Amino acid sequence: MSLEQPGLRVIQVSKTYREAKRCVFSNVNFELGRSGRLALLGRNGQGKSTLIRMLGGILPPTTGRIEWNMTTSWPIGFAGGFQGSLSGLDNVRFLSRLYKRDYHETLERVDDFAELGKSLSEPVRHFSSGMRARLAFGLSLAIEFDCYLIDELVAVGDARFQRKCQEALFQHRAHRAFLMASHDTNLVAKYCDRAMIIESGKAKIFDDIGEAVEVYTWLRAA
Amino acid sequence: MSDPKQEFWLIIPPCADRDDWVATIKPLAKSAGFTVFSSAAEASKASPGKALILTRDANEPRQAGAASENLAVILSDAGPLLPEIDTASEPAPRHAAVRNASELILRGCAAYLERVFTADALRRAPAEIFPGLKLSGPALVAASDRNRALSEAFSVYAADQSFWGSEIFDINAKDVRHHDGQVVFDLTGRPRILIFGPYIVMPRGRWRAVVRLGFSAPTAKHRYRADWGTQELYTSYEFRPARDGMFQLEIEYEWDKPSASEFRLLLLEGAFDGEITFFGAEISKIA
Repeated sequence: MSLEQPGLRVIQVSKTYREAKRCVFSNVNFELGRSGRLALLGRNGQGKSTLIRMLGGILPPTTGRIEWNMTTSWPIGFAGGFQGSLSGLDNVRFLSRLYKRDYHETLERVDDFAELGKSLSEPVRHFSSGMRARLAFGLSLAIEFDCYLIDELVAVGDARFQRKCQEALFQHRAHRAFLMASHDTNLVAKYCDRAMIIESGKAKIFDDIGEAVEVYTWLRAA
Repeated sequence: MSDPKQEFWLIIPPCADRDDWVATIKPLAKSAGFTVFSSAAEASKASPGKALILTRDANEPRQAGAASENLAVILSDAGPLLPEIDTASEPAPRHAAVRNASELILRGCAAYLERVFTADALRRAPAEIFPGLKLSGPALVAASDRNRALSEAFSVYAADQSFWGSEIFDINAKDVRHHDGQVVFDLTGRPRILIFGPYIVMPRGRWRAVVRLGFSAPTAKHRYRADWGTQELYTSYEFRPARDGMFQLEIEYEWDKPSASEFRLLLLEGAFDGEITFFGAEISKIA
């Protein structure tokens, strides 16, 4: 009998930006199961978004390896992957082809979820950051991934839309994996089963989510 | 006419090698003309002659009105913990064993200090503990670090001071490393009790604990509280080291009656990183 391979394996990963004197973090090691729910906690500027972008393939690690054995979304909350001169519809068409999905079905699902209506015909560069985030979220749900990377869910729309996002992610996709960077300790405590805290270049995994939230709360207050 | 009945008491408080002591004493006592009993009740039914009663508790001969020259207290240096209790992951039975053994040793030392025979002294030179009964200790057995440290800690009853090694305390941390009499542990985690123990019963009086702690830079910024006293009543002191290095903490508490001692170090804030080194505590009587 063989044990199931983890969906994600991060091995000795570090990141140092060019021109920077110090690394953002180093020796990051962790695994994520195919239905694992890992929170990324850390004060502003500690490298949560950097790590999420590295996991999403947007930034390369300086050292170490990231091994994916499941499909992963782009970082939700990050909308930098759109071609700005193309309309929302063209971006949906482009990504449908890229991920080998039916365009009409994908568009129907994006339109239903993102609630962007006629604005989808406009070039994406005319979208507000909230509209971009809604389009990115809608697309990532329409395409369906094994693992969702979430960089601060509060960036996506108003309170009603956020509730809709949480239902779509955490209830309708309850058995998918996700990795969520957030300052919202209630959200983290409710939906995650483990956490990684990044602080002063060090990253530590906490198997007890309650303990992680408590330690992070003290760090934030310090 | 048969000899009148004579009772002698041998007090051996709980210790890891108690069975070895009993096995050593029994044939020596028999050849010296004693009949050995393992309880006072058993001895009361015996016929006249020299009775040697083995007990753990000095209260028994005291209640029986035994004269001090007719009793002896044996102090083992193997420590109070049987291997299964010493190595168990559950600390409660160990705490109970330390409390029980120390209470009985204290009782023996307090009542009959001049009749205390230590294992070390008996091994160096056999002593005639009762007329005709010359005793030497059983062979030295390798004790665990914790048992050795507890045995050293119990010397507080005879000398009014002793060193309590880090091995006799419990550490509440994920990564704990003991070496060379000190313990290093990772502070990461929620606010909690970091160090606690050892539940050795202290005699009446004012006792000072001088505790040595090393703080790494990340741990020095946090707030801590040290408690020293009984489990219910204690002296507290809050502090923040503010810089890395080794610190000495002095804290006193007055016991108005013998009861189990506890030193606690509490972390009052959640901590992400860093290590603390605990070097143990010097315990001494002030008044």
